[in-house]
Amino acid sequence: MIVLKDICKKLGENQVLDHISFHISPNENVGIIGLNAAGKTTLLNVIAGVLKPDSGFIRVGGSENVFEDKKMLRKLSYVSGMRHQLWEDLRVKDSFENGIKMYHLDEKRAKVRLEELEELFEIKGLVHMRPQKLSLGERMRCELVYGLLAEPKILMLDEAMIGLDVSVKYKIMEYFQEYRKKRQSTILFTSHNLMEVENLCDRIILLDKGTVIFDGSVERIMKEFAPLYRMKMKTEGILPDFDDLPLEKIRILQDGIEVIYDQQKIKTEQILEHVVKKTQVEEVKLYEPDLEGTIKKIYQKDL
Amino acid sequence: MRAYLEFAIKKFQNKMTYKLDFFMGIVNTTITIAVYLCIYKALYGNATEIDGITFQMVATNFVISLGLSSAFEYNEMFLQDRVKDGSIANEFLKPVNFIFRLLSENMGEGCFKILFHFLPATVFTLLYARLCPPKSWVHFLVMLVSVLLGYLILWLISLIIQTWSFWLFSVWGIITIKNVFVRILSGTMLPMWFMPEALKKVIAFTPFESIYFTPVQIYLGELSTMEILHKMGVQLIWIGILGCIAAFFWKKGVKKLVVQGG
Repeated sequence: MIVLKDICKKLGENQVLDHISFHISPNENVGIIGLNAAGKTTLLNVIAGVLKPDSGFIRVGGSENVFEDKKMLRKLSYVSGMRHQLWEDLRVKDSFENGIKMYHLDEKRAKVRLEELEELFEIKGLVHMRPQKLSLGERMRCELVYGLLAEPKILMLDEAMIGLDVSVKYKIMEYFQEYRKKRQSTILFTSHNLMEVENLCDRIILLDKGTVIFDGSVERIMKEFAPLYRMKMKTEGILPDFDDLPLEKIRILQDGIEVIYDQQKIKTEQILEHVVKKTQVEEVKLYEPDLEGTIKKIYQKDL
Repeated sequence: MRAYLEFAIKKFQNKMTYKLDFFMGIVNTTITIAVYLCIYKALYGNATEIDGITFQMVATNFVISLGLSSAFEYNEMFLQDRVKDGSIANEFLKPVNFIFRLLSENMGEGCFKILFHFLPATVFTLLYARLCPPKSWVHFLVMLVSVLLGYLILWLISLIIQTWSFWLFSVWGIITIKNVFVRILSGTMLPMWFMPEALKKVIAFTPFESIYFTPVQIYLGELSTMEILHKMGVQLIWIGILGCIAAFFWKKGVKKLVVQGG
């Protein structure tokens, strides 16, 4: 669906993208993560065709020049939290109607779909207003509906959840998961909120200073960069001997013990089994590594 | 094509929702025409005609040229605003031709202003001034075509300057100067009949005469059939020339945007 090979892009003096290569298949949800100025938006702009790479090869949905390919543009939608697509001076519903004509949609079907989307994104009361009268969250919901109206095969979401309430946000993310399954679409997602990325994406591309420093599944990033789990056990009685277990660290607490271990080397159940044999365990607290902490660690190590 | 028609209709409908703007537009056009007519009435004094031009012809010239010029106004900073805040890139993601979309929207707005600013202002003017009727219905219809061509000339001049926003920090000053030039050289301040011969010769080499004065001349029946064809041919040539210049700057500007990122 999307192929990038050795893409380089310099903006001014900055090498924003430096030999970026990857392949995204249909039906993949990909999160693009990076610190500020890592090149996330530039990468999306290059994929959308509004920025030409200095070198390298790019093909999006069979087209090597999306910018000039109106047919391809009808299959692609780019919703950005920073730059908007709705007509500023028209009512939101007029922008939707323009969209129906622009994307050559069947009017009857599009209107039914629009009804559903308006309901789901809770914007029914907003469509008669102009975008400048809306709050950021309201506006983003309208922008998302506009972006989804043409049922794009490639959906690019650049900080598109900005300003949304948590409840609406998760409802929308659920919808995106369903949408992908139903439409076999590709979703590219950038966000500073890694919880959103973790929820929505099954693959992560980690950017740093214009290069890809990781490209793989969420599970893989956790395995490779954050394999350490932490378990606190409140025990009564004599503690067992841990010498035979491949633990990373053991800390004796006043009322129990804390162990840090690599799930690749030893499973949580094995440790628990070992402890329960010797002593009574009253309480267990397990701390799994989260994506946010893992990525923070990766960058801290790297920078 | 349906999309472009929809853009024009939406812009037209949108203008109808601004009620204050709607009434102010009529007042503004009526007052502007009235002021010019008063000045020229004073200049004419008791004279029935000057250099063969009657006051009625002058009044007709002002109603057409001033009325249309206010109807043809639109937001000429649109492109600059989009280039400045970077949203122009998102505009390009819409699967339509950006230039034709802009033209459709501006024409939708122009149609609204002709119907709801220009025509009511003309009716008000008729209450206190006598205007010349069209030479014939054919002349009137041909004039409408010529008005459309004049609009395209004016629109393309503006587009050329708007495309400079890809390189300049602000085109506001240039647009203001352009508007002054258009006002003076297209005969909306001083009718073309009264301009010095030397200036008329210079203006003949510019597109300004073709904007309002050609439609006025066709309406009044000042031109023979051959002259009408010639003048409208000139309008078409100017559209071709200005279209090529606009396309050149547009392509260069877009290239700059997609290569340098704005």
